[in-house]
Amino acid sequence: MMTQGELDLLHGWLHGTTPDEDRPRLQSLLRESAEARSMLRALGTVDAKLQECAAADPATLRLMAMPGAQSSPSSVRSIFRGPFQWRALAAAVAVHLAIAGAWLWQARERGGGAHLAEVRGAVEIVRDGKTFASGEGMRLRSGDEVRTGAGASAQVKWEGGTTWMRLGADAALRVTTAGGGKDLFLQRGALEAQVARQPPGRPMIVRTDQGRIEVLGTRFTVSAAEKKMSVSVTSGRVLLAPVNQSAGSVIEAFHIGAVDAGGKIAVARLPAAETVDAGLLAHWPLSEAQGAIARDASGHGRDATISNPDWIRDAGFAALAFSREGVSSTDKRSVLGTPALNLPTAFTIALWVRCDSRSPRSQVVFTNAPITEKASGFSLLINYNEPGAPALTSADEQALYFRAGDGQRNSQVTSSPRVLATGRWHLLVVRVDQTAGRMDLLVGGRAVFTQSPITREFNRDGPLWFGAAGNATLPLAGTLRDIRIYERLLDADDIAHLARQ
Amino acid sequence: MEATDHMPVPQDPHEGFLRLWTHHEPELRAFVRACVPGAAQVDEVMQEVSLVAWRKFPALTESAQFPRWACLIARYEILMSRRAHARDRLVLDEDILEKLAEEGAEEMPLRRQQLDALDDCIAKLPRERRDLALAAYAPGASMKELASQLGRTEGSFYQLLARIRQELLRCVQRALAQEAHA
Repeated sequence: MMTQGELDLLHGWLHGTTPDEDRPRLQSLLRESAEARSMLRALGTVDAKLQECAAADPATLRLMAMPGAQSSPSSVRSIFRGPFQWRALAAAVAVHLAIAGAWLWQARERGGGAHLAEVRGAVEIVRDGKTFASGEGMRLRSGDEVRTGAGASAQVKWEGGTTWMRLGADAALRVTTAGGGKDLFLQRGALEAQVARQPPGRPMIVRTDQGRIEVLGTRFTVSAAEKKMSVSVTSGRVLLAPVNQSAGSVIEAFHIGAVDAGGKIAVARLPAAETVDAGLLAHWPLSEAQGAIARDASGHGRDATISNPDWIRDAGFAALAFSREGVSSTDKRSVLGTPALNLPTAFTIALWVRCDSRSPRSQVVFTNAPITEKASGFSLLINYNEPGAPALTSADEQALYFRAGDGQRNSQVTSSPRVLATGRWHLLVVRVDQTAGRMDLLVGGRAVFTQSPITREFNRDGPLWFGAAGNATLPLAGTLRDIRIYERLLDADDIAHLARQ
Repeated sequence: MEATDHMPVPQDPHEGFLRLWTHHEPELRAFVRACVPGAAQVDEVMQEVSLVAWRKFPALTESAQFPRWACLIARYEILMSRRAHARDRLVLDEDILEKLAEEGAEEMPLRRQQLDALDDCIAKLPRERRDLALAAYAPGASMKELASQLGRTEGSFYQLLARIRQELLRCVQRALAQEAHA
């Protein structure tokens, strides 16, 4: 029989909070006790189930289609650019899906069917070879085909209301339920939908003549034409396979996969121009050139405030300068403060910085914590004089220093000196994956340093300060513009795109 | 035993793979979770397992063997992941992972039963506890924030989560014992 202390060790490991000093005891317990291993597997099962149930993101599924050759394929192209060109006479499907609270929703949907709602204009049902007019509230049977006429529309809604599909004009959708799963065949037309995560073992499949997709991940976009079906994934993964062929491909986030009439699958990354704004938590272009408010261009309303703003223009850009030589009073220094952000465990901060003078003194680029030994948070500085360490010299200057601390311990890393030339604009990107215990920093798209592991317990909440610490100390001897914060890790294509801007 | 376990692999391997993968993914995920610290690493491993399983699927002749076969793939991917995260303080030693995985593969039918029972056990949790557990496991949840909302320290919040997990496990054990005697 396991003791409570032993159980606590297992729970601690599942929580990710096992202190270093308990690690040997945990390892020894698991090495020697089959009961402990069995218990860990059982508790891990509970953990996995709770995780599955809690994966509750709002879901949206949007399907759009071109009803015929004469109707402009240009609107399809406007959604799906890049390597895939569209033919006429098509159905185009755009699916945007996020997986939602599986278990609670599943309980509601279990045994529930679909019905028609919001019927506008002429809508018919084809059932057992017979066609008849339909209206709101009509319950659908497996195998029913919903057809909308010119100018008509209708919604197919599943029990619970969290999953629905809105058919546009001149569309035909066959709805089949088999084994609790949903099998949808869009023959023509357009549909827009919202979809919750499907219960395990009861997948949702969306088909066209050319292929089918199955949800493996969270968020994606699908388009289908008469001779091609394509999947555009914005997060998570989907499986794309040609109809009646065994070959298939998993399409990862920010990639587009297409299957043509011959069953050939092509995969390409979505153009970075289409993905670079995905996952933006806040974006302050700093293009105001006046005033004390930096507007958030991400649409989330996270306007930042600027103390003592010192706007400048450089190379056609407005920017915010922080280097007021000779200003010693902290209440006259510039600092940009964001609202509380509550960053996720994986995030990216990207900004443009221009250093106005070489200096060995410590300068804050951004921070969410006081620059002290035992602060919980993270900071990026140019140069950092460790307390008690010899003063930095000109040989050390212009080095980047990143630190993440949990209030007791710090993970820190310093780049080689002079990574930031003065008088030039540099794109600076910091990617932090707290769960993986990893961060990396890129200047101009090139990695300057990677640190792993970093402490996993640092604070990500509260406001961020740019250009100086929150109390206006350690001001940046430089200028900032175009600050972006993402709730994801930017990839090389995104960063290259930002660097070109 | 599920119907899928008695069926030969369907002629369309794609369809067969999808059916088996979606059916067994939850217990495979649970299998991986016991060997790998943190949800992100579990996702990483599961992604690799799904890709490798997809590629090797044509070689599988009996669909009933799918769980054990997928466990073998998962075991390899767990060890690969361990090497990639070797410096992580939560990573378990390789010999422990081998034992956890080897015994875990034998327990796949039990895993399935436990997962099925958990549906009801989670439903039976007092609403407040259920909401709290689901909030804690939601993607991007901040334990610190949740703890502060409840007026608790982070440590006591983790203890509460551990109690809920333990309570669910007891419920599962009771349900399976009742089934065995039914």
